[in-house]
Amino acid sequence: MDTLDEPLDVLKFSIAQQIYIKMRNNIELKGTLVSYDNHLNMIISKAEETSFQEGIKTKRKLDALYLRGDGIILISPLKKGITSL
Amino acid sequence: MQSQFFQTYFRGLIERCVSVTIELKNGLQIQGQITYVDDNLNFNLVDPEVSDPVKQPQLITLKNSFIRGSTVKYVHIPQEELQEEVLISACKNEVKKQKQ
Amino acid sequence: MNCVLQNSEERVYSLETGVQFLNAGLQVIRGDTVAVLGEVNLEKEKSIDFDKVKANQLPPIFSNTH
Repeated sequence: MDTLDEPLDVLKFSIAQQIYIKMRNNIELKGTLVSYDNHLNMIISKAEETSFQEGIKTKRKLDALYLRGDGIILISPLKKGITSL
Repeated sequence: MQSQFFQTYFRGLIERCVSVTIELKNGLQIQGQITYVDDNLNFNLVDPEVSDPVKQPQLITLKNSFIRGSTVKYVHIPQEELQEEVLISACKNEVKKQKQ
Repeated sequence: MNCVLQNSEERVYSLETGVQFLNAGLQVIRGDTVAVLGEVNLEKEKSIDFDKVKANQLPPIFSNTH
């Protein structure tokens, strides 16, 4: 049975699912988690970036991207139920 | 899950000669073909091109470039070159292996 | 990757004046402050009139350590 034992299990259960990522410098990302590692480096498919700079909100569609984990503040699955395991 | 995972993936992109855009933490975007990637995910690019050479002419004369991994924010990969299904199953396998 | 540069010059970009060249001679650069490093195409460099190049400085890179 799959249980949520450690923090990174949130990512494990989110593979191929939509996730939300908050990053440094007021950047937010939404997209499908394709893969990740222990540093929180990730590959996100069909990503959409929202950035808030000086009160202005800008959205960018980004296709697929590798994201370096050191800028990440938090990650949350968009699909409900994953964290209640 | 080792960081080797992404090194291996980028080596695959090198073999397939995929052109990518590396976006640095300061917003500078550099497009080119990766020629080498090391353990720290530093990249070597050949024929790097800056996305906005008029506003950011600092690097336009470079023949090749080494990009320090820690300064990278994103590496944009063309959706059709992603191999999403392969990556998803490789990642699941890797997680399983590590748990044992 | 720490680097030692010989006969180096520093280029200061600004929107008001063209590019300024400062002689920086021999210097050691700490590897963790490096973002990009590359071989310069000297032919292309000759074809550029740096007095007419006006651009903002690149924004800084904030990483975890600095």
